[in-house]
Amino acid sequence: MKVGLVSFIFSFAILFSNQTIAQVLTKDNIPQESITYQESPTGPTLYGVFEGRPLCQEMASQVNVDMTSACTHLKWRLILYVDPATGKPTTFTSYMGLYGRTPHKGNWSVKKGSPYDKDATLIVLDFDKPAESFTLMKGDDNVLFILDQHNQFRVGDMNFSYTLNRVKLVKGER
Amino acid sequence: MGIFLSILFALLNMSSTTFVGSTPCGKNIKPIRSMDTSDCEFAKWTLVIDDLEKGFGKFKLHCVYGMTVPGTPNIRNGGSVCDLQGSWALETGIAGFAGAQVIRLDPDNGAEKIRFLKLNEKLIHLLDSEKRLMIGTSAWSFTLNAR
Repeated sequence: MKVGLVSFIFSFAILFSNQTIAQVLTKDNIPQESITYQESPTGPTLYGVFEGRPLCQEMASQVNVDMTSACTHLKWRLILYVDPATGKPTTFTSYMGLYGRTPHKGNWSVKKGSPYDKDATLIVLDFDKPAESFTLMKGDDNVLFILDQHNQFRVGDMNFSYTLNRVKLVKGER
Repeated sequence: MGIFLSILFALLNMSSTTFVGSTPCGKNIKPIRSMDTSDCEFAKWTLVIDDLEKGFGKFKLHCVYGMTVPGTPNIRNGGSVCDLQGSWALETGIAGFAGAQVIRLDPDNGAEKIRFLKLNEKLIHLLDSEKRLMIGTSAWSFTLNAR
């Protein structure tokens, strides 16, 4: 009887421990390094650097840039700055493959609410080129989702997603 | 005849959604704990979820992972494979957002539960052990896309 009870408790403990084994631990879920050969922005005005590889054609179509079908994805680095005194959004610098290596700058702002979620936090990028802006939904402080011109989610594919991830820039050596 | 029609009806009413995507992996980034990621840069996922609209059902997960072949979306030498199947159910809440919908995968073999934030019917995003969004890299993210 005692052996049976001990076995039952032991089996239950194993089952329970398996149930609580989760996926990647939070301590390992941290921004990864990204190499840069440019000056790395630092200081209290920096909110963060976000990078990702969204699909090319839909992004290009949104800003009326013609890209050949050979363009499958873009390499996008987005640097967001804030007012160090208030923490409020100020400017951004964007390196998006649509324009080669030419950076674009503009102002960014935060809005609340989207067509599907009234509590969503949206980041709106107003480029210095007229009629161009991109909106991203803040998943959290480290993950941003690129929305379309109607503020709806974009859907990627097996190889590329419309997601930007916070990274730590490290200086590369040529 | 009645049983045949019942089965046929059930089959016709089953629907499945296939989510795909390429995610990072590495020594401490094992989207599935049983993966040997000692030599891993990214993983390609195919996750089939039955009856997504019902809130529970069956799933099958297949992944291929390994090192990149530069300039291509391919995995060197075909990579390694992982397969899981089991049941899934909806939960509510992630870190910082109590109302978020979460898809929880419960593999049949008693392996670890895997959770995704359900952004909408076509996008899900992998969560970590404390239900925070997994942070990707400059090359890959942890978002899976409906095909």
